[in-house]
Amino acid sequence: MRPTQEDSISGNYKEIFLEICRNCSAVLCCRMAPLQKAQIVKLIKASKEHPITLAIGDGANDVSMILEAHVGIGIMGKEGRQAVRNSDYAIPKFKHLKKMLLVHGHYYYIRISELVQYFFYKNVCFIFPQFLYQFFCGFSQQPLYDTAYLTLYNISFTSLPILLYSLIEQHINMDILKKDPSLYRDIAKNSLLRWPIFLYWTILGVYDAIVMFFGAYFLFDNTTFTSNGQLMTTNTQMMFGNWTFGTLVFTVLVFTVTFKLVLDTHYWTWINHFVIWGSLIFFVVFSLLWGGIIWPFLNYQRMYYVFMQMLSSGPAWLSIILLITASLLPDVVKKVIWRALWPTTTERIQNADKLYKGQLSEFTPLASLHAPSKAGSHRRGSGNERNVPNPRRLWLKRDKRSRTIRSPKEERDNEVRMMKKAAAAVMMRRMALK
Amino acid sequence: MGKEEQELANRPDNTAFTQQRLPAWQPMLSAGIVIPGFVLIGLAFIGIGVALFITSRSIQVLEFDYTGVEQNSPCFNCTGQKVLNCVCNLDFSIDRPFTGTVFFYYGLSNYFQNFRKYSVSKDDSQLYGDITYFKSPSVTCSPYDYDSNNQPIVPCGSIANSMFNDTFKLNNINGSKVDLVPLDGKGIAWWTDYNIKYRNPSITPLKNAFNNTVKPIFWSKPAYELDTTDPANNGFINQDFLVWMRRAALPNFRKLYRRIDKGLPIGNYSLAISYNYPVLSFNGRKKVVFSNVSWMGGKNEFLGIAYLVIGSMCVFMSIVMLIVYAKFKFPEED
Repeated sequence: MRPTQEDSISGNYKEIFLEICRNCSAVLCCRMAPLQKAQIVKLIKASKEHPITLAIGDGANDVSMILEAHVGIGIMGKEGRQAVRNSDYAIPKFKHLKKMLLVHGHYYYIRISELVQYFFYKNVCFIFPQFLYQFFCGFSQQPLYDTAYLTLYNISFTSLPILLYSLIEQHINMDILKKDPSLYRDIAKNSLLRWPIFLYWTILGVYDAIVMFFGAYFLFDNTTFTSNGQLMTTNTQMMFGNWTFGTLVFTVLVFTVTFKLVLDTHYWTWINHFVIWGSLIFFVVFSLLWGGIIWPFLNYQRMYYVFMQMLSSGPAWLSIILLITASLLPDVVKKVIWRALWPTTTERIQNADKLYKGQLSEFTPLASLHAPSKAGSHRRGSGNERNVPNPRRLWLKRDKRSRTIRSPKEERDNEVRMMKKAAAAVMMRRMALK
Repeated sequence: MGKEEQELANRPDNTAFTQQRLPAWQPMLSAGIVIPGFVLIGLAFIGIGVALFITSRSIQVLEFDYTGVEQNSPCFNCTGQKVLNCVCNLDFSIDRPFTGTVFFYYGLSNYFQNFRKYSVSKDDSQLYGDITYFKSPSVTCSPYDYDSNNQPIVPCGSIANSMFNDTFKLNNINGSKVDLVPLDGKGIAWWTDYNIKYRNPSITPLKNAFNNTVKPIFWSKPAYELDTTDPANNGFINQDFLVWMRRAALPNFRKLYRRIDKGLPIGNYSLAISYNYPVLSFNGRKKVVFSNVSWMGGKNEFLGIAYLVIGSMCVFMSIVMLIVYAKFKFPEED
């Protein structure tokens, strides 16, 4: 392949070359000029599945390849800093690539996909009730929530929990990720940001919004939904107005979306607790303060005492609890059933980790972690089948000798070899005894 | 030596936070937690739902539409144009006595108090008793801020202007005896509205504060004469006025009119209605509602039914999950 010729003959050779390369697990190209390296990357990028390519190098001759690939990694080497300057990520040694890809890359993808999906979800939940309200207020653009709530929802009440999730979340232990590269396949091909998952989140958001709005609607419509008023004066039943209606929906909303994140978080540090419960407490305290004082800078005093009135009503509390539970129910059920019927490799590892209570390390044999499931003949995100027999009986010991990752086929062959050896030893002992 | 120091200076922090090694709790949504949890929640919800449903069933409600649309309705004569000061009588009887405090509501249908332009049309500073805003009402009140002679309207705005002005008297008919049932109008509005949010101007007599202003166009009496019998119920802190000013959330709503403290025994009743409020032009409806209340408020079957439905769904889901787990998970474990 000469860099200057772009006529049809070398184009034909490119096709054949690409076909051959796709059938190999590793291809070695020697004595390549920098431009040729970039051309190889371009060739792979343009192939049928349009894969995401990663190029790693340490010298100045790797720069064009690093720039061409989707992800370019430079190694701070003896050949200078050219590669590092042109790369997306720089590492000091080649061996760091493993942790960077398998651990950090995996974590970042999980975090960012959850961030994106959750953001759309919580805003769908936020705005859809407001949209539904227009059908009942003469399409006059009357807001359902007070201005303060509209402004602060995305800034103060629901921003910190997801921010922290996207910085700290670890759905699986680092060591297991390093040990089992096949887990990376669970997120291959942008699996968590594809249309089906996005549709699921959106439909969940719409469902939650409908539950929240119509739950409150049927409580308020043509009934005498009132407070009990026993804290202030006796024997009064004070009627609720439209801001109380909106505040009820908003309270259910904030608690629902925060609890959704609670259900999705797998790694609870003290900061998680602080941020999540703190956001909810902040919402309550803010509402009490906002409605507790006649603020002089406000033109309208429409929120005065609304939140407290709402909280002084028994039915309001009952409906808040009911609506939060009804909103979260389908997601919990879906999670549990999917985890039982069609677990991903990730989820199996999480189960195994829980079983062994964190004693899994980089050196535990692979086969012990992949217990097959009877129902799931297909595993999402990964391709091949594994028919390892119940491994718990065989593999609870750490394999101290092997410090390399072996493929499962190798592991199985190893097992068979060792069993044959043991059987032969037993036979020999028996024959010796006779 | 310097180069080493420089390298060490560039080294990232090795704290638990920056190296993501913070101690953490790693919970998992496993069957052992979820299934019992669902069963508990389901049973609790069913219990609450049953209690709510039974309570709601025991609440009595009487509702009468008195708009007068049909020919045979008692208030049909009042629906004509140019009929002033019409009084119609609504007769009804009660078979089961209402025990405890009975709440007397008026209800409106197809009435959008939550319409945006309507709901911003008031001046909170005027209603707080600030005299300066008596002379220059806020521009949000327009077109109900100045009348045709350019006099400021107090209280301004369409919410105040459209205040409900039907009045009711309830008579208990005992053979030939006609007893007036006492209606209590104290404390029907929010305590905070009455005491803090709405204040009369601090000029006595109250009438003088309203010099050089006019009453709202639709009103028959000015604000300082809303209740001449009780000065604590006059001006902006009139209880009926406050109840009206708290805008309803939905187009079909009820507002509290009076309380009947001693309940309503069995018998025949006649409700004398001063029919003043026109609703037919926008296909609205007017009704009166008698209801007693319980710890959960008025009659509302939705809450009880919703709790029962969600509770049974929880129990059902837990059974489904148990089946799924039993079939697909348990045989594999030792």
